[in-house]
Amino acid sequence: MVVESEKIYTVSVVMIISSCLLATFFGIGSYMMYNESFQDAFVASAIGAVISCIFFYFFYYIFEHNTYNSIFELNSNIFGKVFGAIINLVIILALVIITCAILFNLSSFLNLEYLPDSKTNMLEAILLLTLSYVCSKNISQILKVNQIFVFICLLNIILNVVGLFPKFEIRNIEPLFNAPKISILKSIGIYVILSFVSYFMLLIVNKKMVQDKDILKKRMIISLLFSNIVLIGIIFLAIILLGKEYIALFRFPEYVGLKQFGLFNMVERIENILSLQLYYNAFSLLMFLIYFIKSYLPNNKLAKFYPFIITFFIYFITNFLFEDTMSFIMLVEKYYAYVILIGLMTPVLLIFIKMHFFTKLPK
Amino acid sequence: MKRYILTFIVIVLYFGGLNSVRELGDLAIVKAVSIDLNDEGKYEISAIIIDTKEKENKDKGLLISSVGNSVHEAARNMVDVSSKKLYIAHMESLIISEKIAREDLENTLDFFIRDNEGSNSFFLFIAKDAKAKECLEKINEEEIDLVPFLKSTQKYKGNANIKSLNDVVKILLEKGRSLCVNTISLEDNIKINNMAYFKNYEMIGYLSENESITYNLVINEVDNILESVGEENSLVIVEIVEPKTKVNVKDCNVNIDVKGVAHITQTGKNITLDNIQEKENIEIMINNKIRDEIYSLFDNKRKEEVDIFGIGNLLYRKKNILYNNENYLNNINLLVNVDIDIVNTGGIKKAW
Repeated sequence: MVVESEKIYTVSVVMIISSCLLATFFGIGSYMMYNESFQDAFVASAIGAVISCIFFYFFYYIFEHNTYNSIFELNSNIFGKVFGAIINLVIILALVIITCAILFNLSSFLNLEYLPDSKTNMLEAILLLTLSYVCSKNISQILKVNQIFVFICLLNIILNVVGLFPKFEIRNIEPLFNAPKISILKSIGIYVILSFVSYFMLLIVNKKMVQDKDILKKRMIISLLFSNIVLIGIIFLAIILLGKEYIALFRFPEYVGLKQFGLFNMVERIENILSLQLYYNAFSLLMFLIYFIKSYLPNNKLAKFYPFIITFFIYFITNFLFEDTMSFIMLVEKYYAYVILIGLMTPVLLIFIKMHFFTKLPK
Repeated sequence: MKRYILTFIVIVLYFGGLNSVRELGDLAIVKAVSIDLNDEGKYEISAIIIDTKEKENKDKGLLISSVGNSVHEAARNMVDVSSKKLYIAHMESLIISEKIAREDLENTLDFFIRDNEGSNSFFLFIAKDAKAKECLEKINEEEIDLVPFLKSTQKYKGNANIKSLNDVVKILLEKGRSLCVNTISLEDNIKINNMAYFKNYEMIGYLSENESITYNLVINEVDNILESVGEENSLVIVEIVEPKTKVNVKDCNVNIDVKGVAHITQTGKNITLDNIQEKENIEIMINNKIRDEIYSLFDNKRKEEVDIFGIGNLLYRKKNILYNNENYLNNINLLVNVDIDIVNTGGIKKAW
């Protein structure tokens, strides 16, 4: 379901990584890491970022050698119709669960911090309605929306660091490596697995449509490096701002930290504006996830209604899976990483093995 | 027709999100709150709310009170007297009774930490020898702005510090560190008094004025302090400006280094200040006095097993094995080094 006439530029493509990486960790990844390894979370994230390069290599190999329009087409061709369809189904299932989790996380954040008197499912409906409209557009327009969000987020992050600078206490990272080794290893695992979503999302782009392909690899690596540095920076700054005991109290510590923002004793209590970056990133990721699911469906008369149909089902699945915040946290803590591991990482590894060792690739 | 139906659905959905909208006129904007525990074990909350209708007395608010089984219930019961829901986002101070500080600090603060509206950047006080509500009544009656009051006390006297609720909770949660909180008392007027100290989550007692200043000096929370040495004709009063304290730990030794400069602000007749030796003697006397005060505070609190300077926390951060010992305070060898230089003897050339 990809129209090849659309033009996409590498800058737009590589910006997928930054918004998706920050979004996967907001409220889910960072929460899990802080609770697992406290002040060592930033060390774990740094190690995790290095290890994730290996998985990025697997992914990039597929991205580079994929001559088909999508990963689903690729699977059907290299694994055969039956096994290919099974793998595609596993990927789609994982994407649906991730979409539901991100959607519930975002709407519960909005409910908790912005609109406490509104119902979470009402917020989900509003988000999905907007998302279905955005996803009914073509990929180049979606990438432009993301590009705008990334620039806003970047400015926001810089402003946040400036306004919070006097509140940072470097002693909050002490004692380093105090968490049990197994907890640090778990945190590293969480980082590696969750960060995989960010570059997996690059697969929504058909490489044939990219205009300046020759610099794509270089820009992808730069973007990956930059996004990881920003994410590790955010985790580090949240720790030195709140301290290990305080950070573990909150579901969205980044937002709580922003409450302390102050510029020249004049600009204060603007956390709702500053935290828009958290919202924008999550919105971008949801946009890509829904578009990804849409790209699986066949191109027919119903195609223009796909985003609305997908969001309709996502709404019900989300409410079926996650009854309330507590059950959401419990489910996410237990299964979220496994969903990504089984649903996204394993298929990518299988594709890599199949392509690298068992398939003759066109030169 | 389809378009109208779609537009209708969109409007219904989007405006549904405005459930949380609240007009400014519907808000009871809270300036300060007091909480007492009454004899029945119920929470009595009083709040100064900004009166948006009153145009002349801008600083004077409306004082309203209510009672409930929990802090939240008591806060909700406010609607019985004001018809508006409390809005605590701009709250500046919270005064709690001594009983709450001694018995129920954790549960009381939990409401404020959990609430998404508040910023937790307000200041916490304990009402000393008075009901918290009485203090709040006086504050409202006299139109006292507690925040500038606290900042002046911290800056010019040093027996209070300006730690917000966020900082207080952080200290409360930290390992190996005792919490000290500002107190407020009702004498003829409202007075920001000496600090109260805690062990675990319970208030144990009050520090004296000198102890409060010494505590704030060690935790780097003082701007200016006055010190006096000698008596009558040999009296010397100095103002120590922005002293800096460093606490380091090595094995069982904890070093507290205080450095700063001082100005002589008053002297007795016998102090001539016409030779360096005399100035150096005064410096030695001041340094010794501060050092003794630090030793004395540490030793007094060590007897009560209160880690007033947070040395346990420092040991924990440095992964010192001594922290694993329950009685680590008894094994600590405290070394205090005070180095205050007198750099200014005032505008007078010699004694008169």
